[in-house]
Amino acid sequence: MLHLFCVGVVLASNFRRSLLQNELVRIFAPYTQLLDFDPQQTPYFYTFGRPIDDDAVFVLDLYAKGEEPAAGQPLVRTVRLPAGGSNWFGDRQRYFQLARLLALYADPENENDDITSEIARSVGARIMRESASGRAVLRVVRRDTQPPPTVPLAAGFPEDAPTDRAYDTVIYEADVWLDEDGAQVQRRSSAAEVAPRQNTQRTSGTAAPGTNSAQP
Amino acid sequence: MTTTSDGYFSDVTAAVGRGWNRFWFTPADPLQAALLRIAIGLLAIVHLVSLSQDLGRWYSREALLSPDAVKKLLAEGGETANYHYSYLGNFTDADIRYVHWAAIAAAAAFTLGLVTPISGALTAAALLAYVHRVPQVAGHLEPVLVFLVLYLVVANSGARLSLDRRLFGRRQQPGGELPSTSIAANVGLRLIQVHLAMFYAMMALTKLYGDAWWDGNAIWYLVARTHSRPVDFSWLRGWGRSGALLINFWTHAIVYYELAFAVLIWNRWARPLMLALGLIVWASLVVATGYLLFGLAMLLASAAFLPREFFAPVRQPQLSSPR
Repeated sequence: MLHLFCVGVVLASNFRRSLLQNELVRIFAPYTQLLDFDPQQTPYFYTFGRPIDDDAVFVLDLYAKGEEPAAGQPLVRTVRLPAGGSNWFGDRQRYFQLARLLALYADPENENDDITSEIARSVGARIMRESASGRAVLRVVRRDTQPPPTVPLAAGFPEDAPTDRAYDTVIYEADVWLDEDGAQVQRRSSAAEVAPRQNTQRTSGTAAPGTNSAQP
Repeated sequence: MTTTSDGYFSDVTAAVGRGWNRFWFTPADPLQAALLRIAIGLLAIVHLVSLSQDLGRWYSREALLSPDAVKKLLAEGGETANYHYSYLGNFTDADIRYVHWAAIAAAAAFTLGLVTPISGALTAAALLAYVHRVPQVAGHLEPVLVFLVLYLVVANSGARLSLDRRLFGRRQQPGGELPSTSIAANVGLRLIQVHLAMFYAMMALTKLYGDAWWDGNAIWYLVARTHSRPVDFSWLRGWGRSGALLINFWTHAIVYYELAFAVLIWNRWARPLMLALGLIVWASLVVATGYLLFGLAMLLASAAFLPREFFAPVRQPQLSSPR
């Protein structure tokens, strides 16, 4: 009975939490979090159709020397994450989740440089160690989805090529390098310097009448 | 007045007590739990094998997110409680393969029903280790898989169709008789049922927070994700209004099904319909999202609601087997 009460509370608090739910989730955490009864805001909604729900990938340009800037040395190779794998078994999903997490906190509305830097530093360090590189330029590139069938595409987005480069946006870009203190990270451009997006769905043109009901 | 209300409350208390005892403590045949154990065990093996790709890159000490980075991200993300314990962060890329194969071996032992309570607990502990090592990339499957394994341990699922029964059964039951019905089997299956119903309610309610599930376009936004979609349905855009209507229907059907499941699955007349519709709904969600193992886990968990007559073809040969 007590077990089911704990499970019921944490499941009911999966997405948004009141103060009371937050307190109860915290009290039950030694039990529900440890045994994973609390999905902890796992997105069981899959998508809300927001830009932050779109696919995002890591692209890392690797360079040999850590102490020299990327512009002053030749590119060794470019690594994309995920590379290969299957969309049926979750191996690619893990990369998308991590890239989406970084993109979420790089977004001006939720900006948190501590989180983005920590992810960039850790991911960059691992890939540089794998490839014996000393420096990387790490980017998170988001692929905007096409709007629903009755909504026309905005100008510049090809209808028949949803993987065209026009759909890709660099959300985050940072230099990561290794020195005697470990991995260092420096973001290339702050989100504050980026103009705010005018439309939530960048690829959408003018919606056909009666096709989309605005939510309050 | 007092006498009337006293009578009412004593009647309610007695009726609730009888219903409660009947629901939880009616002895059940462990066969259903044993069949579920085999299916869920196989699913756990497939899940663990699927983690083998990029194992060190995700879960070792030098992974994409180091143990320190995970802790910092949890703290920065505002998580006040942190009970994410995992042994995986102690292993290097080279060593982690051995503990990974040990986890697969535990899941195989659970599937075969070898020292089931222990192998089940070890399987759950192994699954949890992967979740807690990098909770930021844990998937939809794990919270379902873990509770299924734990409840099947509670359900004494090793009592049938197991190596435990072959190796130790005769010692426990002179004459080699089939294990009788047990309360534990019923409690385990009931826990799966109640937990699953609450899980469906949670999934439906979280969807209702977002516009895309209200305006009927959520499925489009899933199938239009060109990197992560498993099947390309973007040709639906060429169908114009017909495509939009189909997407709307698909989206609404999923939300309505999940909302209805939590309630109607308890109705004996609606239950077969809900279970049959589940096959269609989950098949459609799997092709839209690629969450194959999660969809299978939800369908298998729903099998806890199947009537015992459904398992008669499996039960009969066992009953008639020579003693």
